[in-house]
Amino acid sequence: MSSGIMGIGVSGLQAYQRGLSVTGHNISNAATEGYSRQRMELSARNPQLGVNGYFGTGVQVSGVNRVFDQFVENQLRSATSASQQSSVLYDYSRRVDSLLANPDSGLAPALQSFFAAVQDVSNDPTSNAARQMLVSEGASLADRFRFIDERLEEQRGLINGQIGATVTEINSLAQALADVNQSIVATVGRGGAMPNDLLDQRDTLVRELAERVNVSVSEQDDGALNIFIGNGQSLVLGSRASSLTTGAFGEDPRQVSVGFQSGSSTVDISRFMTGGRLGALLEVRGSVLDTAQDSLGLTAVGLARTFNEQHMLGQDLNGALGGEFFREPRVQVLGSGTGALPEVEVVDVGSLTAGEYRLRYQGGAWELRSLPEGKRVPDFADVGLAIGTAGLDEGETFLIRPTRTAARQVATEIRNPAELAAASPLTAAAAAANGGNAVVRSVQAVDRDSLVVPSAGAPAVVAFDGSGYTIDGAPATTRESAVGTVVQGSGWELILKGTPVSGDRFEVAVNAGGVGDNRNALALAGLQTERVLAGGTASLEGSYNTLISEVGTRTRQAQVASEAQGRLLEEARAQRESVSGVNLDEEAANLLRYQQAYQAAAQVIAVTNTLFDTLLGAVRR
Amino acid sequence: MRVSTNQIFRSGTESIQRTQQELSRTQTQLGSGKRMLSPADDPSGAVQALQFRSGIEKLDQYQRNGQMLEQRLRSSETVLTSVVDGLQRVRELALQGNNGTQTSETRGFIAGEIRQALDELYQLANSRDANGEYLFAGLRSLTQPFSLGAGGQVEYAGDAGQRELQISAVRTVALGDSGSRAFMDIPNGNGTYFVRDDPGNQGTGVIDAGSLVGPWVPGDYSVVFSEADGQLRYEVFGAGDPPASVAGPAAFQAGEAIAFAGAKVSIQGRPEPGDRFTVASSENQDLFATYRQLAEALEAPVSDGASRASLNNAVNRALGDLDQGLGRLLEVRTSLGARLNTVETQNRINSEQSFQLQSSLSAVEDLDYAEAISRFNLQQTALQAAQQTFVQVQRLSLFNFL
Repeated sequence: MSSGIMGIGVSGLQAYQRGLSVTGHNISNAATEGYSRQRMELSARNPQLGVNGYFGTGVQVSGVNRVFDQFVENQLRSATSASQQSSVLYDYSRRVDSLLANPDSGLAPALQSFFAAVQDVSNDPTSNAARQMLVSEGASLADRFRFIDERLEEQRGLINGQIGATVTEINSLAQALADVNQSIVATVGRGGAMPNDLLDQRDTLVRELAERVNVSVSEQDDGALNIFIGNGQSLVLGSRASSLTTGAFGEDPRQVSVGFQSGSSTVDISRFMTGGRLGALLEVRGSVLDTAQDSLGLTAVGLARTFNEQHMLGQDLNGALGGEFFREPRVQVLGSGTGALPEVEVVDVGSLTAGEYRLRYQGGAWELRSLPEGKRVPDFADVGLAIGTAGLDEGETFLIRPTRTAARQVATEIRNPAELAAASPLTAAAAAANGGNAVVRSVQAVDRDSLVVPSAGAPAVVAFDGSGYTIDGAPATTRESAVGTVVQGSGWELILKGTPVSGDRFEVAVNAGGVGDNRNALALAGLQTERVLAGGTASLEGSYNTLISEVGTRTRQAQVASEAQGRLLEEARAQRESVSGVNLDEEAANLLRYQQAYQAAAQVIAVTNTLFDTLLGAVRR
Repeated sequence: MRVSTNQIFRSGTESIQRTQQELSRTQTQLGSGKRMLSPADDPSGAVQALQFRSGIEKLDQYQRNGQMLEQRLRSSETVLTSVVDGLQRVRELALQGNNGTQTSETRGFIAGEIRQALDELYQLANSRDANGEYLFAGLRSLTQPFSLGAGGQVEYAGDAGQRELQISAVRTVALGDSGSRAFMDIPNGNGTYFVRDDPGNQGTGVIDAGSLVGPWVPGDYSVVFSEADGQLRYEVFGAGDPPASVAGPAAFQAGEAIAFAGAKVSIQGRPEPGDRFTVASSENQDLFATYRQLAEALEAPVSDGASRASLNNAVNRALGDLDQGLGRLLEVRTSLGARLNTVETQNRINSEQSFQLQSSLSAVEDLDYAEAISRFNLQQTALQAAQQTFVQVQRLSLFNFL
């Protein structure tokens, strides 16, 4: 009987000692990240049947469990993914955003000073200082395009590096998870009890993985956790981890993509990588950086092309026709193989788009599709391009980026201020003997290719023969416009206002010595506000402003999302803390409770001892 | 809800951090005076700000263009005013020289002064602006527009072009006027036709400038005098071979109007038979030639009635030509003045618009200080409260009582 009481006392001592150690463990891990508080489960030992009934035999520890809620943990994991994604997205978008819209280093101020310099030349076309200023402003504008593009390219380099680093981290986390899986499976197999701290460790690892990329998990019966990424690629199966690779999978050797080893081949899974840091990096690169560089490039191509075209219709200080002011950017073309690349030229900046296209031989013809949506372009000219497909390898595909690298290619061709074509190459005058009241409104060069500038000695004679106009005797094409009758010469147009009588003559000749002429400079200055891009809906400035508002809106969205996701993450964390976190006051209470119970159990043993002594004393007497 | 110790700590630091962030943002706003610290704060506002700024820059440029215009137009105006003054002096001199009391010598002095005026006109017409550009050379602004030919005649080397400057998005204004319009291509006579005596005239007939009585029939007409039955007769012939008669023959009466082809002229004095006067459609004549011809006429010796008549005819013709020149100069000066007005008005409109854009820009991107300062105070209080409560809560622990 006394051994029974002693046994009960000892079971109490042992149980509460355990209790104290569990409480101590909790207290020590109060600040451990990912720790779930543990609780000792007690139960009464099996009773013994005595004479009058069942008698208890003490207490036993039936288990040490972690207080944990799988649902809360899942929520925390997905919130971690989403929050990490939106905060990285916000970080990078913000950088691009401030770069583009900076009132000092953005493109807008450079464009403004450039066109102001054009205006100054038009005010004073003979001033060498004004001309020099325009040449320098042209160079600074080209520099500004390059500067912004370089900053964007830096971000791209940074992002590509980050993608590589993140993939390495994912791989090592996957390996660590596989190792933990192995330990857990072994432990569970040995004893059946759950190794709480290993489980905590594994949950923490999964959460760290979720910070990097979206994952889905499924728990196996043997205690192992299988982890999938993308659209079902198994990253961890039991104790085996797969690894991701980075490399270029498309035509562009510099586009870092994420690959997954499947059998002997590696497949590009970049587009399935959503959530987390990796998802954010890929998204920023595609939707922010690509868009920004494409749009910036479109503005660059638009400026270079329209400014050059107008400049080449003018006459410089030396009396020669204008040359190219800007060096025109070339279209980026990348092939999947090593064969010849197609010749791609921009033929119309008005229909040119800031986008990406793939050229592929299909159904007996070369077919152009926009990326990433894959919409077919019926005619190359629809997107402002001319593509020479002769002699291409039909097995290859080609990536065509009309404006991606344009901004970094812009430079000024003009060095000598005298070569600025501020004047118009033509002058026109009505003959003194004209009987009608038709006057010359203006004469202007309109097409450089067909332009023939009549010499001063042999002017082109536009004559009215009573029914229509002739040029040097040959019937001329005319049309009526709001400003008057337009007579079309070879590459030039003469606009007449008024009513001529038969025999009236107008002479068009070279603008000899017309150094004070600013007609072409005025036309160049007009390009600042002329809507030359996007099918005649956007000016150069407007197209850049569209880019700023696009990136700004995206950044704003990312910011709002990042704040919202941050709050959701906070909430999920609070949930988890509420369930699994250690409360020191609670532990202090448990400490007191177990201490008192321990003291009481010790007292039971002391009483047993007294009882035994009493018995011994009675026998000795 | 159960609260873990970690959670108490975390939510405490979290709220301190959040308030600190807000406080620092407000501080940056106060420091920079800007409401938008990054375009993402207000994407559409950021684009608006860019557009406003670009608009302001453009208006500034138009203002600069306008100032340049104003300066050039004013110097053109000054030059033209001097030219007009000179011309009026020449006109006075012509009237003086026509006076019968003048001797050959005094006429010589007058002619000398007119030649000086011619030099002055030549200098003025070749004026340059501050940039060294000729004011009256059209587009060939670096070529000296007026030069002396071998025969003393002045030749124009500029062209008829005008440089236009932009003073608003839709408005351009011509900077100068070509020399051909101001000084060269001036119709002589009364603007429709001119009259001239024949150098071989023997009589004392002096023809006036005439006037228009009907639509002028362009052509070259001669009033020819002859004697028949002891009576002096005139007849007016037009073009053709033999010349067609358009008026007369009729008896000549001094001072009586002779009308033909829409014109009416009268001849004073007594022409001799065989004398003739030409009446023809106006031709362009430059102001320099008008001065020179006047000087030459005054320098010619006057010995008899015929040479006096020749002088009177020449002076009359010169007066007509001078009046045409004056008319043209005033016309050019008026158009300059009108352009100056346009520029001034546009400059005013531009600066008003610029001011409006500035205030719109300020409304979009500038900070409301009153609001920001009160926000700053509130956030400061919130931060203090967060810090104090954090410390107080951290002090509470059951372990303190164990």
